[in-house]
Formats: sequence, C-alpha cells, structure tokens
Amino acid sequence: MALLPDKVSLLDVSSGRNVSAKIIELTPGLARTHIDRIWWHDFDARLPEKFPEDRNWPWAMLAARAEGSQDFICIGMNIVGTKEICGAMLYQTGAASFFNPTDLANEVMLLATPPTSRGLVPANLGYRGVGSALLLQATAHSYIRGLGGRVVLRAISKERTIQFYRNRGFDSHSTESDGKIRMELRPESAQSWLQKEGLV
Amino acid sequence: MKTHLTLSKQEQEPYLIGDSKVVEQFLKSSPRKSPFPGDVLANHIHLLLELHPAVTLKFRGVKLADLDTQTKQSLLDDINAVLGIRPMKGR
Repeated sequence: MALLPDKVSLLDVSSGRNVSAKIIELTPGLARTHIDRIWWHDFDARLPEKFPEDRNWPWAMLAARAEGSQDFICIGMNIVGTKEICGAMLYQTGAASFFNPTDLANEVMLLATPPTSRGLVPANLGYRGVGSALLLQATAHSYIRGLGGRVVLRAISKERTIQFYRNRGFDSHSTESDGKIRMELRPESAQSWLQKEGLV
Repeated sequence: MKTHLTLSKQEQEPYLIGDSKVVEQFLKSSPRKSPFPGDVLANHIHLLLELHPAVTLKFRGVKLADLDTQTKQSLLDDINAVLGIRPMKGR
C-alpha cells in the first residue's frame, strides 16, 4: 500500500486518548490469529442469541483469496506496536457505478469491526475512527486509480449510519430486496472529503 | 490522516458492510492475479493503463517490470498528469 497514506490516528474509547494505527494488507495468517480467533471469541456468552451476521465471516479465507489479486484488496487496521487488528475491509476496483454503469468505482464489499467497537458489549472499549478511515482508504484508492474517488456500497439501513454516509457526500441510489441501501460517493464529493482529510 | 477529527460524537460510523452472500460468492470466485507479483508500481501502472484505455504507452521492446523504480515513478507521474490525478499527501 505504499502508494497511499497508511497512518491513522484513532480515538481509544477507554482512555480517551489518540492512538496510532496503520492500514496494512491483511494476510491470511494475521487474519486467522488476530480476527477469526479473537474478535468474537471472548464475547459469545454475552451476546444476544441472534449473532450479528459477520460473526462467522472467515477473514483468513477472504484474505487468502484476495492475496496477489489485481482487482480485490483485503486490508486491516493495525494498532501500531501491537498485532491487534481493529477493523477489516474487502473492496474491489473497477466495479460499476450504480448511477451510470459505464463509470467505474471501487466497491466496498465487506467491512467489519470487532464487537467492542460497535456497542455490542456494555463497556467503553474499542476505537473510534476505524470505519471512517477504512472507507476513506477505499476512496483514496479509487482516486489514485483514476476513478475520481467514486465508491459504491450497500449500506445497512440504520438512520445514524446513513446520515454518516450522507455527511460525507454519499447519495442514495435505491433499496434492495433485503433492505440494504445502495449508496454512491461521486467524484466531486469524494475529492471534497479527501481534501477535508488533507489527502489531496 | 486524522480521521477522528471529522467524526463528530453524534455520528455513527460504519462498523459493518456486506453480508454472508457476498462472502460465499467471493470465496467461490477466482480473482485474476496481479501480473507483476510484489511490484506495487508496475501493477499500479498496468492497472491504470487497463482502466483508462485512452492512455497508451509504447515500450519499444522494454518490459515494464524491467524498468528501475525511478523510471517507473516518472512514468506514473506522467500518467497521473495526463489523467489529472494529484499526488496523495502524507504517504
């Protein structure tokens, strides 16, 4: 990922302090030992009966499939000085725009953070900024590949999250049969966000 | 990148995108491999040329992977200038 900025400052919710993190290519080994065997392991007993959908997503297998690929990128957010991974994302370059299918975009296919970072356990744990930084990375990657920063994704229909996307310039396109909302960040809004974050 | 600065306390940033169908489909797929394993610059230039067919290069018998890093970087700077891509700050 040498072509993109990879250093991120996150807010450690428990201490209220900023911590340094780095966006890294997720290897199958790291995903196996620091996501698949860690994220949900300690929380099973405390979670509601119906687990969140990503409880069993095999990040090690996903990372293995994306390894060395030209079009799919699997990345993780690593807390500097540790092996902790506090977020992961799989995205594709060269997907079609929802609004104009001849325009190309980066598509965020999967993104997840550990249960500690999403209020599923009743403690002030985890980090803030992970989802934002991963999404910004997909936007920056779209920009340097000449796609203008265009990003598409299928958002879970939660009002506050949808508002997050809208605040960054995403437009809603349509709603799918499972309730997910097709959203797209178009080049003008993407570049405005990249500028606001000091990347271009 | 100071992402937390643009994230207000009221905002709920995304913590989950996608579903198990996407996972299944991706695991069944066979993504094509990068043509220049381990060479970030060569792969990036190759993909830029593929994504933007209007930009063409004549290598005159020289292979992209055989160019030294400085030459590849100059080539990339030229392609970026043609496509209007500004350099990314902070990398």
